[in-house]
Amino acid sequence: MKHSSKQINKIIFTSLVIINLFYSVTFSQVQTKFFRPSITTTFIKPASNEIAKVYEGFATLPMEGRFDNRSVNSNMLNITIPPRPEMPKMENPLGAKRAIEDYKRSLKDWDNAVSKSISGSISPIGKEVFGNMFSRTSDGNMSWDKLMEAANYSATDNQALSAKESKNSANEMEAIANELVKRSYYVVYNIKSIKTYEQVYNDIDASLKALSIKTKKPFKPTPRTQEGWQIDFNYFIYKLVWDDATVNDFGDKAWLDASTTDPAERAKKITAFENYEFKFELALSGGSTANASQSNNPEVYKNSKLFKIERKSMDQLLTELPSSMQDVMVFKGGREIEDFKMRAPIFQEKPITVKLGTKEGLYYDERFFVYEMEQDKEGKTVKKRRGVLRTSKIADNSMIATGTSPASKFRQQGGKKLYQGTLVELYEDYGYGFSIGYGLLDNFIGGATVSAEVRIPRLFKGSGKLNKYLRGLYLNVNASYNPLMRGKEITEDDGYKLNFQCISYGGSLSRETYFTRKGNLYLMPEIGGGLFTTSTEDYTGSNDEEVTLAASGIYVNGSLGLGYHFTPMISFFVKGGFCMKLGDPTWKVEDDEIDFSNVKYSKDFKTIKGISIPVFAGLRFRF
Amino acid sequence: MKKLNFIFITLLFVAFSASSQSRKKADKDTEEWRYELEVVQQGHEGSYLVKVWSYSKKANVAIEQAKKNAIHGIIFRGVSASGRVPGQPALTNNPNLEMEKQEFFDDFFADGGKYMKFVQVSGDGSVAAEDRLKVGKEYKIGVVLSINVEGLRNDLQATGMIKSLSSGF
Repeated sequence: MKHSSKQINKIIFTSLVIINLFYSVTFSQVQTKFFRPSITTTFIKPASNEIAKVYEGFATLPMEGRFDNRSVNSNMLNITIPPRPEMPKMENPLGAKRAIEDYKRSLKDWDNAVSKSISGSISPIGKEVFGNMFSRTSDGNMSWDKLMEAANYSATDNQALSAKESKNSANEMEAIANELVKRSYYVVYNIKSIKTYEQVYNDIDASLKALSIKTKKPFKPTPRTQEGWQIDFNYFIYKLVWDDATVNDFGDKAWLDASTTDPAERAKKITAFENYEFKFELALSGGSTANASQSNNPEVYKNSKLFKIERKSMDQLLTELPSSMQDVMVFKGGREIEDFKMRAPIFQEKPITVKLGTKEGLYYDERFFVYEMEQDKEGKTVKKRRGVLRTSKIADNSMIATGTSPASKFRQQGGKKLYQGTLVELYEDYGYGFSIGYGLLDNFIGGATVSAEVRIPRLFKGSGKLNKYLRGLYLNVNASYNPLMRGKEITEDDGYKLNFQCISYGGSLSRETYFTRKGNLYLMPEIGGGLFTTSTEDYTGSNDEEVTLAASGIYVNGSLGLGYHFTPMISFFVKGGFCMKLGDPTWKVEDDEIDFSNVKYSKDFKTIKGISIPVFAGLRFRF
Repeated sequence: MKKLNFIFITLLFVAFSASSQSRKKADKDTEEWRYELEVVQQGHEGSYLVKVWSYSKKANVAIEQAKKNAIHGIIFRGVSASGRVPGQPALTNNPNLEMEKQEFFDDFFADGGKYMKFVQVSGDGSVAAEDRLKVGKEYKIGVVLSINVEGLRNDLQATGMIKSLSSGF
């Protein structure tokens, strides 16, 4: 039985409507599957040459692995974005609430106006993407072939095997192809302002000057140590509307393939495609700043013999900005847009493996939450978090799935016991954190401590072998303040009780190591060093006047910590180790060095030299 | 040495009894035949892809019992059509067959029994995230299985459990 072209179109698009209906029923509550979204990057027409150069940098910028990058020729939107409302200055605190409300309202109006303006002008770009997606030829014919290739690449092992076992395997792949069309995203960037670091410093100094006049304190200019660029930008993420009504409408009016031979009918369809208004909905918008800078001290580039640092030109620095802009968009989108979150069920429990890998752009230590599907009292499926996983071994699955794709290994880092089939979903973290705690048994690096940390693999987002060794590695900076050194004697029996304050600054490298199945407990070896100081202003000098007496020195330390996760964000830790002060501390009265090398220190000052065994306990927060 | 032997034997006993408890639990759940069957697709050459939803307090137990449940469903309950995929009536229309031939079916559905010949896990063996549902205090697990309906029918006909179409009514 031969079908006419109209019948074929009808069959394809009717089956898509049925597939749409099936998938919307199945996944209306909680998304449990990942279909590779596609992203088309576009820009608001640049207002300056520098901005145009930043946009040019996107042409060679790779997109994260989990997305299909759909580039277009006409990627500039010729529209003008009105200036974003600024937060009003609040002279009168009583009017603050009203001012904030007014600001929020004006921001919402601005958002709506911008969104309307962009979605009105994005349609031609949508048409180009759609044409590419369906391999539209110069004579107007379209086909599903290219999209089916994408569907094959996007399909999981289960989907591939299911299609193989099915009598109607084409239906399976059509369903995936349709899901891919539904996940067509369009990002519009708008750089609101671009400044050189000189302008940035000028702005900071202007604010500091104004503040110094208000506070009647002397103005101290900001040290100008960097050169480069700072941009303030917005991003708008739009999603193509591809619902049943659109599928039907497009199928009837604008779909054309070789089976339509009647010239009049073809001309009608070609015109319909050219005039077709693709609809978009705003999925997310936001704004941020991005910097590309380097030291402006020429000596830095001359003196580095071991690691030669190249000084980049200002134009070269401009090309580094697109990567930061894209990172912000992908990160924020990944948190807010369900389609951006890669997900898959746990494939094996011991060790935990999940069928995600290089195809999805996994990087070492990438964070995932694990959810259990639960039916609530109303019969709705909701997801409940059961644990946290991080990537520990990445499988190369960059191939068309046939049923035997390798699975990546994951390490559980907190939560309950996980089973096969529980949903693993990306919830990337910022990669930084801080901790607060208290240290004992060393008065000079102990006391109240604060520490900031950055997760090294998060900076590189790498899947290569080198990155494997960076797993769980943190770079920390810390400071401590000991308030308990009041009324203390430097030596055992000198009779002078003085009030000292002890401050230390340091840096360290630490590594999280998990050793239990659920990963609620972790070990954290750490090694570092820093500078400690102690001082008093109560010391009586030779003229019987109170002068400043201070000591400082360098220390190296190492410790082993034990942590317990309360939540993925908060953990409690205790750590103990050694702290070795290098040599004798340098004592100074005012600016004059004095010799304390033969002094026998009191018990409070005992740890100012030699080795101590401090212990710390505190809370650690990670974001 | 005697003490060590005693500890070792006690540990073995505890491990064995824990495993047999889990087995008993699984069997109890199966004996109650609490499951739901839905057709997924029509497969090749007389096979059917079905999703069987089994219930158990332990997720792993529900997965283990899915195969038995699916074969039980195909023989005694049938699967109703879904969308464009046609259904599959029960292989027997005798509602008392299971009781009448209890001995046969006890053997048939025993662990590692003959039922295993006609069922295999579809896909890569993983459970889809949406098919692992906690309902109250127990789990409802959906496993997609490929059932060789033709083979099962022929086998039951050969053993005289069901009548063949050619044997008349």
